[in-house]
Amino acid sequence: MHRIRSYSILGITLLVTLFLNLNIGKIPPIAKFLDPFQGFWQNSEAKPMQLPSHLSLSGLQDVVSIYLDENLIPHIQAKNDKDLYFAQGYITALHRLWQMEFQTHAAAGRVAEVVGPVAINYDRLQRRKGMVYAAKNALDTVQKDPVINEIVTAYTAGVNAYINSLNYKKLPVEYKLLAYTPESWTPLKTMLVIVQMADNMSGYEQSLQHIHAFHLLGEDKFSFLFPDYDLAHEPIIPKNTPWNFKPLNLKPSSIDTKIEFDNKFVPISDSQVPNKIQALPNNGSNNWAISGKKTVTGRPYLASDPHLNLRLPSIWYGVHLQSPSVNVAGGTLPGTPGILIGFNDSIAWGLTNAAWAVRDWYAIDFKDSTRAEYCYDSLLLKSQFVVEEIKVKNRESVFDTVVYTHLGPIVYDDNFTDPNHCKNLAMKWVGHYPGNEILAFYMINRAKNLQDFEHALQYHHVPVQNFAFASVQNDIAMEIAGKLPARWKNQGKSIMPGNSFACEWQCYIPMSHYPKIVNPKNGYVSSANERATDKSYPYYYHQFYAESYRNRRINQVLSQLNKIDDKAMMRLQNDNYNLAAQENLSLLLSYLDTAQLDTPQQQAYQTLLDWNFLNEAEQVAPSIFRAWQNQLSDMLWSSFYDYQLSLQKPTFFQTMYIIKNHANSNHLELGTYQNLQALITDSFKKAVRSLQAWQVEHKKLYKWRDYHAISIPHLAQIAPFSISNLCIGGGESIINANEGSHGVSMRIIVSLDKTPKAWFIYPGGQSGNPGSPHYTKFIDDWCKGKYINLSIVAPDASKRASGSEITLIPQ
Amino acid sequence: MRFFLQVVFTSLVSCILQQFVAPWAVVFVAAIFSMLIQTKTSSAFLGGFAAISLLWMVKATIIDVYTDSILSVKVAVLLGLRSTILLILLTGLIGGVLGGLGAASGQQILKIFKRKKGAFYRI
Repeated sequence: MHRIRSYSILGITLLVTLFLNLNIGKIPPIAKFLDPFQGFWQNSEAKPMQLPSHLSLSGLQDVVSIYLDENLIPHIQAKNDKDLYFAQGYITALHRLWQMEFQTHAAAGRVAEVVGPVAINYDRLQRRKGMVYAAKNALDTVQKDPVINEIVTAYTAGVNAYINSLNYKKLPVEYKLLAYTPESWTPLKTMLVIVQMADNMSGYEQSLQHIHAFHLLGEDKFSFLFPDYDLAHEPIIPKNTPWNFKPLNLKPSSIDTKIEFDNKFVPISDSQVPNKIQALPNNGSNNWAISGKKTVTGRPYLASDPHLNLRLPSIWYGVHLQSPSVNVAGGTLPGTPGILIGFNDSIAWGLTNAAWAVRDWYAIDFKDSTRAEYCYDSLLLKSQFVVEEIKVKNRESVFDTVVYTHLGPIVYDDNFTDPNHCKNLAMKWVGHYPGNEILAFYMINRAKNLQDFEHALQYHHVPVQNFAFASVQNDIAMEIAGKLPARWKNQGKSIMPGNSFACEWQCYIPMSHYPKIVNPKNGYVSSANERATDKSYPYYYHQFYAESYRNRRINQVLSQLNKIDDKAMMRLQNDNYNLAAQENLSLLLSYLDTAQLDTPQQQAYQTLLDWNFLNEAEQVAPSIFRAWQNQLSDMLWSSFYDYQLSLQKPTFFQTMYIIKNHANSNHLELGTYQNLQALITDSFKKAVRSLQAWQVEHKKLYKWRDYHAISIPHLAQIAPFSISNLCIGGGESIINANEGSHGVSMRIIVSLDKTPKAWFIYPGGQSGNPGSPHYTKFIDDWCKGKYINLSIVAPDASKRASGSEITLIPQ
Repeated sequence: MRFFLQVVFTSLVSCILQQFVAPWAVVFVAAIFSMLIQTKTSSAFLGGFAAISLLWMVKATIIDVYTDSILSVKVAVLLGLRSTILLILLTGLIGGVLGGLGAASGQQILKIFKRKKGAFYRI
């Protein structure tokens, strides 16, 4: 009897101990996690971690000093480049290891390994897009380049030096919560960071939506609703800029490239799938450079603010790198060596997305249902079957076979359908064959003048970006960089046959024929994802996105300003002016039959009349205008919701253009409304009613900051590690761009003084640890339009706070 | 007195050991001191429970206060608790369970070995 009791008590102890220390389903091992000596409690920081003053690491050739300033920006000073990038890898991992690994897992389609079966479809898509294929190609290129190979290897070694120093206690809290441990960093992961950015910038969804629209609407309606050319006529390279090259003579194809949709391409419709029209975030950005003749100092300014998904930890990580060959600072992407946007002692540069279409979809003529071979001109080419293993946490792996053709992988087919997307198309993407992007930025980081800078751009293939440039020699420039397919007219608008060379990209546009502008008379250059050129550019291209408002507002302000100083630059980067409203509100209001409006609608009408066109956080008018824009779009383009495949509605700019100039067009669907006035009036009434409903549901007034709530989710969607409902103005098509969890991911302003200096900010903090006060340190300032100082002059040793500097010593 | 000694030794040694090893070590520490000091299973359990739960709660509270609850507030929400105090109590509960069961097990091990001697008159 007693024996049973004894053994049962021992048994219970064993079971309970195991239970509390093992991972069961979604719950982490609870004893390990709550243990105040080793568990999550140890991730709480009162002040920034006190660094050990010396650390001995193998892999270093010489001593490296890393000083963390009051914003936790590391100022790395090394005696050679190999050590410099080793140290960059080490310190970036120290602050952002979990993010680096999770993001590269996401790029490679390995999220299910960490979070379980909910991510399987996401992972399958990433594999079928050929992300790892692209990264491997990038790695091949890097491994053939001794300089960059050494740098990437050193960076990897630095990251791994940090990983190897970890025990459970020191792990980032997300590892403890999700009950896994970091694996070693590899050069392939560095390439995945680049490929991920290239994918984010190249309009995957948009490319599909455009071909769906082209086929479903027909060419006429498509060109009417989605014209190629910027009707606001303010391209990046100003109109009528002459081209100083002789263009290549490209013969247009005589093949009819339009494919009739038949059952092969359209998936089975699923009537339960809700609204297929998602407003896509526009991974756009702003940048500009101003010549000294317009500034108060006589020295140029450069400003850049990329717009990306807002996440915690932040996409950007500020770093200052210094070695005998380079002194450069700015924003980096954790996982890649070098500075991506920033400045050195001679130049400054910034990037915006050029949004050129570099992704086309081809219909493959398979010989039979095995898909082993396909027709191509007079040949039969063999497909490649790649088996992808997707590991799933706590479950068996899932296997997926992807068919590769020489054009690219088949993304959607009978084994992987998406009711919103066309299937059985091969995806041809410039991003599958990156250049040597790390080399490009390595050279830009060291550039002393415009020539050095231009020389570097040839190595940058993906993603296609507009590079703004300014130098201490008072040169400013805007140049496109990336691999640009040379297309014949309309090539790529529709699904093309993948059975003939005639339909492929014949070649790429030679770099010397790229659109660019250097030292223009008006003293400034700018870009905000608008159309790159006017119609006179001799090569045909289309953009999957072209901005119509931000660019014109930037140019409006810059053309009028003189004696520009840094405060003017900061005001412009945070400008909340709603140009779309200013241009269209009085016209729209004139359509309203005010006698029909009830009291709340009259009030809303009056609020709009009194509005100063600023989307400020505390104002109500921006919410009314936005609700009205949404209603108008929904009602005018209601037939778009009837299509089986995903497509985008025409932009607000295009909608208003049609109302103003083609009000009688039969492409404008008035539905049951007598005339446009009736529709517009009703859209206004509906908008106000929707706002009233919003107010009831949210129990507060629809101020702009609440109505267009901006949030910053955690990378793994862990709610308490996320931030929501920020107090910020701005919005879509506004310089201070934001929408949902997408917005200005970083701002930098550089003054090209004798020793350039900069102002820098992003919505997050240098530490990726939710237990650190630096996790969200910059968010408040970012909302308010403030900046921190970023310097390429590290303070000397006497001015450094104790515990803020670490010296890495070779073992 | 036994209780007091058991709590003090268990918590002190655990405090030192836990800097280096995983938390299941407290089970062994609690068992050892229970075997050395205690005689009854129920008081052993209470002593082991008190030792580790107090140790963990004090350590957690120090961290919580020193860091202004910066992370505990978030983890409390994550685990569905309404305040960091509940989180500290949960921490104490889990630690206490480990300590208590360890101590009780210690007593049972003693009993297993003792029985091997004069089993004649036992049932």
